[in-house]
Amino acid sequence: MKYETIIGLEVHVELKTDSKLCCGCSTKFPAEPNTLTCPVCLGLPGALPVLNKKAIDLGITAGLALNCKISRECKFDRKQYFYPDLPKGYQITQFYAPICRTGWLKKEFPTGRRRIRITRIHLEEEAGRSYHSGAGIIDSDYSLLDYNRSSIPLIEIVTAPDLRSPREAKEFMEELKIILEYTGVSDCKMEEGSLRCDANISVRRQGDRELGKRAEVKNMNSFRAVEAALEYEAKRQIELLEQNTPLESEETRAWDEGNRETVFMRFKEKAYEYRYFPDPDLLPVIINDDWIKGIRNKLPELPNSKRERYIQEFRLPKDDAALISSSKPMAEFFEAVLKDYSGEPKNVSNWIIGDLVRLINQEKIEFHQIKLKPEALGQMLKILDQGVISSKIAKTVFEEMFYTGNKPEIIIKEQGLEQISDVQLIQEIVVKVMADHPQSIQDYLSGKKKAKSFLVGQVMKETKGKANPGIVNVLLEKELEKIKE
Amino acid sequence: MEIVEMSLGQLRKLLDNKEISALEMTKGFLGHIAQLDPEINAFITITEEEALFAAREADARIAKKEGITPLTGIPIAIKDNICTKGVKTTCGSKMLANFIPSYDATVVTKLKQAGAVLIGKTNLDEFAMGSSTESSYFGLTRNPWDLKRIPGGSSGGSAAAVAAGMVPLALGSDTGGSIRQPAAFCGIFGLKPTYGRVSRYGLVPYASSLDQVGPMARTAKDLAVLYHNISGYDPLDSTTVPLLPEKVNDLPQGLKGLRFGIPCESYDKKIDPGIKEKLLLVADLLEKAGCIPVEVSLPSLEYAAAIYYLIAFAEASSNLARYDGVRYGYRSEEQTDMISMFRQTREEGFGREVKRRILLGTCFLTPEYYEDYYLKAEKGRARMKKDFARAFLECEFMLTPTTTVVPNIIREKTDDLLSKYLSEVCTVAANLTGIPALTFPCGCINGLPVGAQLMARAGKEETLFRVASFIEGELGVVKGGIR
Amino acid sequence: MSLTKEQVKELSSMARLALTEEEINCFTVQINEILGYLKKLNELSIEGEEPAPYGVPLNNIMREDKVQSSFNRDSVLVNAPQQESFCFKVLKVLEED
Ligand SMILES: [Zn+2]
Repeated sequence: MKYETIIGLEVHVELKTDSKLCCGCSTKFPAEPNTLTCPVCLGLPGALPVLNKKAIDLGITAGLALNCKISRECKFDRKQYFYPDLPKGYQITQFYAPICRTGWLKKEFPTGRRRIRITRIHLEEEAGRSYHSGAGIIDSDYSLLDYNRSSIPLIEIVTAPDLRSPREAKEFMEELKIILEYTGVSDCKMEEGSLRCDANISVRRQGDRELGKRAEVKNMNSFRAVEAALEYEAKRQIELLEQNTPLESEETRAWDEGNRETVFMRFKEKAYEYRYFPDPDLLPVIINDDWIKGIRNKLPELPNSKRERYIQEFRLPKDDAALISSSKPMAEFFEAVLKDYSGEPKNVSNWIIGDLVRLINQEKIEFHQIKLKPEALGQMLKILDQGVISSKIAKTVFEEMFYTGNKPEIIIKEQGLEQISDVQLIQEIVVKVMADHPQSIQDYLSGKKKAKSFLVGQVMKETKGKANPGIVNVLLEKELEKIKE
Repeated sequence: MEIVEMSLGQLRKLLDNKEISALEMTKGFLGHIAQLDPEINAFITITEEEALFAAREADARIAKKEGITPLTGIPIAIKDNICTKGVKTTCGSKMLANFIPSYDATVVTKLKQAGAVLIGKTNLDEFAMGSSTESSYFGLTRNPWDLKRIPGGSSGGSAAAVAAGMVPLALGSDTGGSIRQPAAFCGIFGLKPTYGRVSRYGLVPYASSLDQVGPMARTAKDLAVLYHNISGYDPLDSTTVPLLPEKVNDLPQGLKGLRFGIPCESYDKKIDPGIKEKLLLVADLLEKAGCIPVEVSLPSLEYAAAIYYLIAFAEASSNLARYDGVRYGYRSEEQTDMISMFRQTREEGFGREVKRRILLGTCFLTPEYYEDYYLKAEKGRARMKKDFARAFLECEFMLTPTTTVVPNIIREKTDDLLSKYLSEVCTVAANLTGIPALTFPCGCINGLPVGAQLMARAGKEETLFRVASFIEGELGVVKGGIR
Repeated sequence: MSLTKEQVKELSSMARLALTEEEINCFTVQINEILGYLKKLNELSIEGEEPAPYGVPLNNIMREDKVQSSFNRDSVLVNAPQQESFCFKVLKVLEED
């Protein structure tokens, strides 16, 4: 029997604003507990929310990037439940009139290219955080509350149940992250919680039309966890189906990273009664065409289209194009190099994917923090193409540029790294090396071709790698021919 | 004349002519409070130290003749649901009995900037939910006209304090009549401003879409001056109207040609015949002054109370969810885990009326009731706004009773919940439609004051001040509350 | 629609109010009385009306994304019923009720 897995995601994304959704407190992270709070985000009596326009802008941006319809009327509702991390006893969110509806994200899956539908995107505010104090017996009964995160703006992106495997779910999340980073909507740091997702998953026999009862899986804190948790959950549900005991009611489960399993939390029937109603403190936001147009005009080229363009325009291999376009700063760097450098684009991508990524990983920094300027790389590639330096020397120059941010011509000059192409000078060194290694000449004459490479190596060593290898070869050959005769 | 009887203008003259210092004046009022308040209980907190400090600062301003405003050095009382930095703000509730805000309400900031002397925080029905000031955790307030009677509510403390001469001016808050009804019961002036004209930042909310802070005073002019000093756009309250505060110049006396509406529905109610008589007297005076009476119809007025309670309770159930014992306020000792802490804290911290309204509001927002009750009320409110807009095509202001009865005896009407709720029938429409409404004293029945209500189009407070000032001039000042 | 005692208990649980038996009895009667009165609203014609949940007919009231200084932590924690390590302290959740 074959089974089909049906997955829909609810993705929470913290928006990249400087201040919170409803007050002027900073969103910076990390910070000392409760230092980024005020009467508004602590829900003190009488405090009132005032909307951050940037949050609306970013909501529209996300919607446009995901091909959504932007609502003309964007309103805020109160979602009511009691929890100590929720300071007002309600969350400001959008229930009746979300900012975006019905969009899609096109994604190349191993099974082919598909559109994953986006049902809605709505804005809401973040809750505070609770920490469970101490491991001691006395302390462990308590929670400590820090409201620094309270009222940071979020969007929740809800997809249709269009994903067909845990791997697709993971790949969708990766693609979504790239898009949201690209468009400046979010930092998307899963480890800091600025990107989170819950998944609704159900299984059915292949060919069945009806959806099975679904489980909502929470607490997946990395892309890998998304895949692993959903793999586990799909398998569990298939086993239940095979034992003829399918899920009878919808339930919420949590991924336990340590034990690699999903754990039952509660039945959905007991879902809270949220009693949504319009928040009288926040007036509607009317989004007109000009506002949308303004944001659309500023929207950067999205990774999908960059990828296509790199393949078409720059003749990059598919994998190179995918890798470079996956990061906005990397793609921008790549394109900036090509502004100065008219050589083969593949040369540029080789240096970025190879040495640059290696050094970045080695130094544990982010791409946007690098000192290396794209013009410098372009200049270096020009110098390399002209034969002023060898590709081996180029590696040295590149590292130097990476660490100091200096221009290649300065590095080459200061360290005397220009290639030696002076025939007379090289001739002298060749003669000297031959005189120093009579045995190698004997070996060569007796037919051991390797001996010649050794001699070339010796010449390069003498010149600290700067001799033009072509000239060295020609001169050495000439000298050896002389001896043969 | 004693300072406790004086109007703002008279007090101002004394201060500006240096016949009395702000410090002496403040001490005078504090003395009057010390003498009267043990009986009346208008105040929850008296901020003597802060008041004396502010009075000295006011004296310094007056001495330097710098930054003197009409309120510099004038003692003012603040309803205790308006946040004051460093001074307890209790809302008349056990829940907030020890709550000390770290921020001032915008109206308080404005008064402080004007150099006013904040003299204390006044009593109210718990969380402003009531119309008698009997449900405060800090005891009930008595009507200075007759200590056996209620002062009305929920701004009963402010009304009693002003009426008794303990302060010349006070701030109240009005969600369904909480300024106007006690003002009428205590024989003073009170204004519920246009929604959005006065910042709600720092006003502890009862029903956010209806609440407004407003002035209470013994003369129409004083009322206007206080209103002028607290109104205006506030970037901290998204629902304030981005307009500058209205300029209130000397109120012109001429009313010739103004049309005043008499909504037939307002007079159909079971109104005390004595009150009806007073209103007719006022109507006569207006006519004599050249105003033109017009009969207007507000068909939806009959449903105002139902609409009001649905909206107010629904919003209240949400606004009061934040009192959970986590960050501030009361926390029950009876707790075994977090949920029991929430439940016990709220059970013990709230009084009965508050709990009743929270339950009703919670009910209205459940899916079973949302559509047929809450949403219908919101649509009913839209209908009411249209009714009023239509009526205001035919008149510049309306004249109605403020209350249908005179203040009752304390603890007299505690059983009949519905009739208690319906006592606000005259005042709620102004909150639902967002228009300004002013109550002014228009005489007495058996030694108890009677108020009449004026309503105007949104933003037309000035019309109300003009009319009220005129009638005040005709009827003379009612001072039966001064003790 | 009138409410049973059980339904009132459910409401009280939703509103996190641990009511006494006496309160529940009393509130059940009173809530039903009010609900009865509110039926009156059915007589009002609201044909074609859109809900008007806001106090003012304004739109697009927003602020720029500028950081303003937060409040002094001590002035905020001074009202905390219990605190530890600059955080508000509460008992943990045991189970969902
Ligand atoms: Zn804040």
